[in-house]
Amino acid sequence: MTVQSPATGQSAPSQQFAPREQFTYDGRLGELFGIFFTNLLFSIITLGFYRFWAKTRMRRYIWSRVSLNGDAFEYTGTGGELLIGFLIVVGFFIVATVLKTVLDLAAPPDSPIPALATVLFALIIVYLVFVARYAAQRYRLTRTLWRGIRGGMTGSAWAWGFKAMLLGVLTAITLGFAGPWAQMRLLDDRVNNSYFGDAKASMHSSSGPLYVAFLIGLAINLIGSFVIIALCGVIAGGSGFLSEFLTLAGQNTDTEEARRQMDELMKQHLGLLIGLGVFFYLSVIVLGIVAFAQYYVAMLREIANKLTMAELRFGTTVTIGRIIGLALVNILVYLLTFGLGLPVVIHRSLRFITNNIQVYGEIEGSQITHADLPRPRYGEGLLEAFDPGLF
Amino acid sequence: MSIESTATRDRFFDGRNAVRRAVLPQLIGRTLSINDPEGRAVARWDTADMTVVDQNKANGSMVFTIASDPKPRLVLFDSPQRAALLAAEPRLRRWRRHRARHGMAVGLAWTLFGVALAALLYFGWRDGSAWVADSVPRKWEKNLGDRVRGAMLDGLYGCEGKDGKAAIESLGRKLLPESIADLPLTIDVVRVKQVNAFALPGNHIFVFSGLIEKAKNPDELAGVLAHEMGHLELRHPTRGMIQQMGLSAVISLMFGGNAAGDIAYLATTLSYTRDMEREADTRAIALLQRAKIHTNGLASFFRALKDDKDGDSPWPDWLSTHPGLKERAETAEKAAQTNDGTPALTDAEWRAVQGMCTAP
Repeated sequence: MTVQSPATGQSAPSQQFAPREQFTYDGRLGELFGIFFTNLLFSIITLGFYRFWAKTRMRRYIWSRVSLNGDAFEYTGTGGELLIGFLIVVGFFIVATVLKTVLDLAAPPDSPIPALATVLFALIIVYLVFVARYAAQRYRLTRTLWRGIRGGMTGSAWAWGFKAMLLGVLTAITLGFAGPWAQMRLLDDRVNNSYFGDAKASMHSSSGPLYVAFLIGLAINLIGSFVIIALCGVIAGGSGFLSEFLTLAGQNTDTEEARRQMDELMKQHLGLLIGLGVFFYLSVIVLGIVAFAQYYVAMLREIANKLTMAELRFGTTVTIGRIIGLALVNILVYLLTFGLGLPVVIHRSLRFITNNIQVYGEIEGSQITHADLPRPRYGEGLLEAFDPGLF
Repeated sequence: MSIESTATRDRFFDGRNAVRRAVLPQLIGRTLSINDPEGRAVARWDTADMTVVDQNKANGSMVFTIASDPKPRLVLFDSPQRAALLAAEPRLRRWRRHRARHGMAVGLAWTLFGVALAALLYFGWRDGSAWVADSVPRKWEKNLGDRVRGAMLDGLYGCEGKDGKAAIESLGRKLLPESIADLPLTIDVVRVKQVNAFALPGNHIFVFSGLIEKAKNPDELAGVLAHEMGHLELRHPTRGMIQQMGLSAVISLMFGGNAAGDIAYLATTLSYTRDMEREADTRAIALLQRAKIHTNGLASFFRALKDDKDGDSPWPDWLSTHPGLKERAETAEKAAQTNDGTPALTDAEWRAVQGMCTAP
């Protein structure tokens, strides 16, 4: 963080600080690695129980190194709160598992009850994951401090979870076509219930731009797959494998002899087949990444355009190329270091996020006052069980 | 950077609204007066009540609050005023060590609690599941076993050779201990080339055709059957399923998966502890002696299996679920002592059993 030193001679407080509202990140890789390896060591020693404090420690550091307009954020959550949330979920799972086992044992053969119970159990878990996502946002907001004022969140996690389930069903019924709309409605709900002090965040997003991106993504996948398959066909045809294969396949394949010939053919062209397989899968993965990235960028832009917070409006400089670059390098770093490069991933991601969010407008701090929005007593619970644990 | 300009970077947030106030701290005795640029006191803090929230190594700033009401924040950069504060209250300089010590104490307490809880759950589960298995009504056990057997038979080719079936079932009846004779015994021979046999809750035994091919004589088959009946009598399959279905749910929770598993496949992978296997071996010898059948079949089968092991199948074989074969062969031989008795099956019966998967 570099707060500009005041221009000479000026002393009025409002002019002493940089007027431009911007997010900055001034974390250091060395410090991140220090925290990461200490966390790793203690997590191993305590058979994983330290993870709640590890996560808290990492968050404390990250929050404190991100600032808006020169004032750093602060994370006030504790490891104990996360642990209690986790224990509650474990308790629930133990009770549910015992119930399920008793049901399985007690039900007569051919009874549909165990199968129904399994489906119900799975549905409840999906529901709880949604509930947890909302609750986790509330937890993080209430534990985030900026200029001495904390965030908060209104609304019911249970109701939101229910809505998310319904919209999920709708998305499935429409073969994914309701997805972008459902996604933005759910996001709007979460944003419009979020507060900083008594200032409410607001977003009324439109899913129009997302549908454009959605269709482009679909086209990329469909046309791209067609091209790839055609290319594979041309290569296989050029090597003569395809014609031999078709001849053999046209004959009766049930005989021992035909099967042997087929095996023989496969063995001869093993290199080609493996090469084609690798080419096919890699191309499909690349297509998927490009399609997803352009959709994701459309979503980020829509969020940035429609989100307002107090007097602030936002913009983003994120592009498809940049986001793919970020993700690919992060994945490579993570995989090549067997996960030990996680601090690099965190560091790059935070620099990317803060560099690509633009903030417009000025915060009139005197108008934002502390609000006593409910503050949950314990953290994240279920999300803890499903969280990949980046932060 | 001049002292003056660093001093003006110091800022104060009162915790009531999001206004940043440029302040100049001034230490007066044991009180820190936090003054605005005009010299008016915005707040007065007792230094003994102050604590450090954080320190930014990149820009050298320290964030303070007061312990009695930790809502306001005071951000101080390095300055003579801050140096004076830290000199007057050296405890603030050692905040990191204090926090680490406090964190360790809290973390250690919770960790001990967690380990104790995990140990309690583990041992409670292990010993508790034996108790649960023993107190599960036989009817439930039968329901469970019937369902798993049904699922197994759905996906496998059952060998129905009549004479062979009659022979192996009559051998089974001879061996079946009275204590579990309340439920009918089923022995299903299925066409799988893997060498395997296992028992399901509710008096069901599965034998893979691979095991019959592998067996050199009917005594070896009888030994395996007697061993599985030992498990049944000790209710090991029920205990194993409770333990492993339950444990797998807990483990999948830990790793973020869901708790549903394929019961039928699980039944073939049930593995027992060495103690449980030894108990079943001991029971097997007793059952063979009671039925007046050669007792060395089990040991010789163990020896035959020990060295060769074929892969290539989704089904696990008897070896992978029965550890410590060499030692157990020796124990079984010792327990049998003599090889009294008669062959388990007549030559004609044995041939019928061997031909079960091809005969009508």
